[in-house]
Amino acid sequence: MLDQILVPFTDLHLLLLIALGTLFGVVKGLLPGLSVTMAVTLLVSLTYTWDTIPAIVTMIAVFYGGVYGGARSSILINVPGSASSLAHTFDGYPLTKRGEAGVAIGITTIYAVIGGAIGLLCLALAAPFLGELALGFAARDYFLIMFLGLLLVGGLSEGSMAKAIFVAGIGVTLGMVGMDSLTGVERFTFGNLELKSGINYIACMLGLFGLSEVFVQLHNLGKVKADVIIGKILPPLIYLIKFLPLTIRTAIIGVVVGILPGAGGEISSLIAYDHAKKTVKNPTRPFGKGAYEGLVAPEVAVMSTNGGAMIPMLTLGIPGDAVTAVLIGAMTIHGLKPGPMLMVETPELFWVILGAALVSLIFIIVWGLSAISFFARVILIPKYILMPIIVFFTVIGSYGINNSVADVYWMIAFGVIGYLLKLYKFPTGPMVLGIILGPQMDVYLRRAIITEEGSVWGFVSSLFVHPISLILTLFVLFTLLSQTNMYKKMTKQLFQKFSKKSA
Amino acid sequence: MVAGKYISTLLIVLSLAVVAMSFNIEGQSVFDPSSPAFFPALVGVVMLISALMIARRGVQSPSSAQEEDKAPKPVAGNEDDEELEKDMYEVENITQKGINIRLVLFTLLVVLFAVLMNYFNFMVLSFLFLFGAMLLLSREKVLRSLILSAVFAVGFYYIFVYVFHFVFPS
Repeated sequence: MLDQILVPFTDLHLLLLIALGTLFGVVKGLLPGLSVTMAVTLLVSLTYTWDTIPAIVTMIAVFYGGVYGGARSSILINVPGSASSLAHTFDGYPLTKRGEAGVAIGITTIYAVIGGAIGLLCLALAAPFLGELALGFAARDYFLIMFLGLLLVGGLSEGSMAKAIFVAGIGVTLGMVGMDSLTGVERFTFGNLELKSGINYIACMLGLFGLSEVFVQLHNLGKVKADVIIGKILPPLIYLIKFLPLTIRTAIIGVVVGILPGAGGEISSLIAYDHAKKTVKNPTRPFGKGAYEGLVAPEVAVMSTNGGAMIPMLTLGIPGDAVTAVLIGAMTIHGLKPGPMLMVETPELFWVILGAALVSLIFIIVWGLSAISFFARVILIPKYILMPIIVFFTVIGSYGINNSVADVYWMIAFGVIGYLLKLYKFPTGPMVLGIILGPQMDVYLRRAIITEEGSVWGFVSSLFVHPISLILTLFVLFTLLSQTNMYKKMTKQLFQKFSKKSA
Repeated sequence: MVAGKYISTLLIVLSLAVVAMSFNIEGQSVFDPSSPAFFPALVGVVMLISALMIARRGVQSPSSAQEEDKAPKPVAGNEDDEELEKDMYEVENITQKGINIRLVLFTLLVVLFAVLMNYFNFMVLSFLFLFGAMLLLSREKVLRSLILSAVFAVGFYYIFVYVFHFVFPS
């Protein structure tokens, strides 16, 4: 195990790839409007011809670097580099206005590494256990977990749940285009030969996360107004001890949110910030005016979410968020099958991934604490230069999947669809989860029904008989119930009564 | 709200289409839970319920949202993001019509890039695309766009060929 964790530390080729991957991630992360998902998706198509380990390791590095980098633009220019770094603007930018941008960057860098390491520790402890447990899962359990994932995406998505479920439904339908893997029957192909093998989801992701984001950015190509004084970088050491309890609490929040299918850093960071606001009695400054705790909490949560999100990804083959959905796609492309069998068949890969993430954290310190002025200038690259380059990458990325222009057309089509979805405030994440989870849900549901001799009632009753299925069914029912207006009203009333009593 | 109504109708039509297509899967019955038509039909029904719920609440069209606020706002993101963007980005002096024209021209440029990939030398085509796109978005910085697009086109070509082992159309 230790030998495999150390592979990325000792192999020069991997070390270089992780260093560059982390740098690429950080640079991308600090460019507002460009998501980590997009960067990883681009890389999936570009590393298509690489060997498995270098490709996966590079993507992990971009993932970690990108999530970390998002905080940089929040701090320096008050514009979140990614959705997960919105909470960093609350106290990060006030610090910049006070001439303490350097300290803000120093804090996020140090706590990114601490949060990331705690997340990885949880991954290392939980994954082998969960992997073993998952070996006992039946088809119905997998169906329930995936169903729960889609429900949670609906519940946790910003805006209407109905919109999220509708978009997920489109994703599921698109995922089922092609030949059915159980019976070989063609679905939604309209007799078209190219559609028989299904819609390439990498092209779909490049369109949804890459091209559509560029279209949205075209609404305003104004320059960034920035005037940054970096100042000193490292915070006083005493704060490390002072913030330790908050660090542990927010890391747990991050890991738990990461494990939930469909929930990612954008949720954990806000929960962690809110938690810090409620629990820290004497912050270094009032929250919203440059409190160091206001940066520590979201950064630790966001980075530990990465480790949490990889737990269901590697043990159950279920994405914890959009980036891990893309990573699952990448692993499948490279002939791997994320899920319980991954830990049985290729356990070494699991530990190499863990090692790569650890090395990436080291490079986060290296890149994060050096060349700060350079990174500050990167943010100021005009959009008229950046946008054509990103589109160029999405075109090349989609072409590179099969060396086919047809995939580029799909990418453009999904870019337009993604743009329209964003225009009318529909979330795009559920579509990707739907495309990936949909065909699997279909197969598991039918397998479960076939096991019950084709009886739907037999399937339904089996959900309440087996202990694992029962627990999962209760989770599903609770999630469904928690979305109803009655439940929301009840909890609101209870909360109001409780707060009146405590007042 | 007119655009919103169209969108609601489109969502309902899409859901019905999924259900109808599930019925048309050759030799399969949607009522047989072990058939490949069962799950797509189920998904279609769930989509239809969601579409009806969305229609009931109404889809706010971007134009009506802008009318309500009377203030120029970026389209994507939540209100906090929009406020932040307003603070940190210089607001461009461009009309909604100008944005639409820019979007259409940019999309056409991307489509043209894709269509011509099989017919042009890739490096030359990349240069033309980057130059055209930069020129379209910057409008006046011709020399800068020319130099940058030439540098990027050549640089990216060699990176993709020698680092990512890409085979471009000849």
